[in-house]
Amino acid sequence: MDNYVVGYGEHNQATLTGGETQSARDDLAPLGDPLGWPSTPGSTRTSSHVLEQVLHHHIVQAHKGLLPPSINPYGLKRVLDVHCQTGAWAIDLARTYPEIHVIGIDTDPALIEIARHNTEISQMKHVLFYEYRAPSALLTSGAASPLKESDPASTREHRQSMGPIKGGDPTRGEGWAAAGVRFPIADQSCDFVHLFLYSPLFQSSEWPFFLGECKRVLKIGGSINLVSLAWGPGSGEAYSRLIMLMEQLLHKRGYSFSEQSGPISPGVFLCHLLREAGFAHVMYTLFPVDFGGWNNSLGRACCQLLLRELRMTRSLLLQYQLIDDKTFEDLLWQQQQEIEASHFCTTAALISTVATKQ
Amino acid sequence: MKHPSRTESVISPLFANLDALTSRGSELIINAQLHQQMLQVQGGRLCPEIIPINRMKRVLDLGCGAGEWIFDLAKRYPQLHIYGIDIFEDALNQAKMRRNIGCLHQVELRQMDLLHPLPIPDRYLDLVHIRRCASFITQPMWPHILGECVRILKPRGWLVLVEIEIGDISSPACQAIHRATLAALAKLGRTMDPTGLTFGAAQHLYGMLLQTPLDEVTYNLSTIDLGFMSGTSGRVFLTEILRQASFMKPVIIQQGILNATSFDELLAQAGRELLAPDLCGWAIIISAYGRQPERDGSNISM
Repeated sequence: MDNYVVGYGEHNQATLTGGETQSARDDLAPLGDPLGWPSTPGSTRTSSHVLEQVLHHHIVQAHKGLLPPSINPYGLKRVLDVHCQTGAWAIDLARTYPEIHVIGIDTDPALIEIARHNTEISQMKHVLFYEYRAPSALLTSGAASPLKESDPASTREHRQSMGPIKGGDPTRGEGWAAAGVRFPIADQSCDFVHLFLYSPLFQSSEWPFFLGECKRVLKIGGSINLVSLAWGPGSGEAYSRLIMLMEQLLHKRGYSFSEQSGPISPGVFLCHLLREAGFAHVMYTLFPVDFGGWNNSLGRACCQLLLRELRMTRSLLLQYQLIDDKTFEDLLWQQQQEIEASHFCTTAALISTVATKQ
Repeated sequence: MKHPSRTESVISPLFANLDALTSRGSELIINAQLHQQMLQVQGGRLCPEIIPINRMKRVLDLGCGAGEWIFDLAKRYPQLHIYGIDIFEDALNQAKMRRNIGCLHQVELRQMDLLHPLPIPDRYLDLVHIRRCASFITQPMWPHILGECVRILKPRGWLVLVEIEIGDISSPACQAIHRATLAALAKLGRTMDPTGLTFGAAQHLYGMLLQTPLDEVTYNLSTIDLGFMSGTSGRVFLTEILRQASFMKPVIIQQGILNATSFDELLAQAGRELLAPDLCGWAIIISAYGRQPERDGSNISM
């Protein structure tokens, strides 16, 4: 239990990485692109960060709030934001409800450093961010751990093979659930777990372990909220072609929930997964998200984020021979034109799933 | 919270025989239920909020079907004179019967092909409404139809276009059947999305309206719940998808999307999967609308 960053009971402020926080936020310059995007002309660290904030605000507006209406924010003491990225949601929650102690975890140290930097700017002490990967101490601890591989080398290899869809850094985001990495959070220590996802995040076989971890850290009676963005119909042909390409790629890489290539977003399968994981009172709510129209520059900015994500998949698409380089480049260019067109109309749905641990 | 097991017992007789669903009676029930569901997700509104129906006199519903929208409108606004046009005689007869029973003399119904010029004078109507007609309108027909709508609209009159697009469904077989239908239609050039990912009409309504002389063009979104949280209505909607797919089966086979055996297997599988207690899915409604300029666009020389 010593390995947990956040322990039992009221030791809310317990941290193992306090010293590192200090040094990390002093110098942000050497960091690479926080979202792991390759540097392309016009793509800077700042703009990626800003785009993520824009997406956060757009999503919260569509979701009609930070929390689902069934959750009473004044009953929450400790909230965990999994895959917190640069901490937009966690910081927003901590600012809105100062009584809540918010913890954000992510596998990417660069993102965590930015999140800590943001916390520092807003001078908030009740929101903490932790990097979360597979230190060997964690991997070997706990007899009850469902972990099969305790050798760090083999784990790394495993993670690379199961790897992320982005083809970049294998330690980033995707893949860690496959390696059986547990959250650095004690059992039954949180009232609420939140996850926002706009990409599949895990392979279909990884979800049970991940949801098991969410359940482990939740108190009895605590709730989980999975908010999934599912891309809907869009007016551009390149947009449709790119979505289809992503579906095929994700299918080939084991992120699909059916034998055919299916939806990119795991949103519609979350109810089933939560029920399988033993959660009770599984419910979902749908919200439309608009990215187009004449009065929606935030929406168009969010689509730029999608475009950046797509750009990342180039090497994998080529590797699986789903498309050739020239055609892909043309599609991206065409999609860029579509986003800028006046008749741009692209939609999505938010599937907000809530369940309780009993 | 609606308990899924309760809904199962209600819906399962519907699946006892999928062939029965192709009968006319159940089609009307499904359309009526879909209308109610669309109304519910749009906050009970028959039109976007900004449109002042209470100050209008004459309204036209193109592709009115059995008149679900028309009769709700007539009940709420007795002052309105409402015209309904549809090409299908069966549905129109149903609508005429309902009009006579309800003594709604304000409603006028006529069978007509939308391809022909409408026998309606210029600048006559306050509102033209077209909902869920995209499957009967091919892409080259749209400019003609929208042109006619603009012609018959009064200055400051409104044109409203509403279409549904299916999003994701947690039943893989149901999703596969829907995709097969779209792929077959795409090969025939009947979809507006050549990739076959979506039908494509809904997301193009906004762009098409922008190309007309109409002003104040914009659109609204709402989502339709196709999963267990909607009670039975989501399953009814998905049943409608399967029914349309069965209707399309010869085309799907002819276009080489699926063979007959795999189609039947998928259909049976979809029927079973729709009974899952954690069925989840969504569709999106896009309502695009615009307003006739103060002076009729056709009279303005460019």
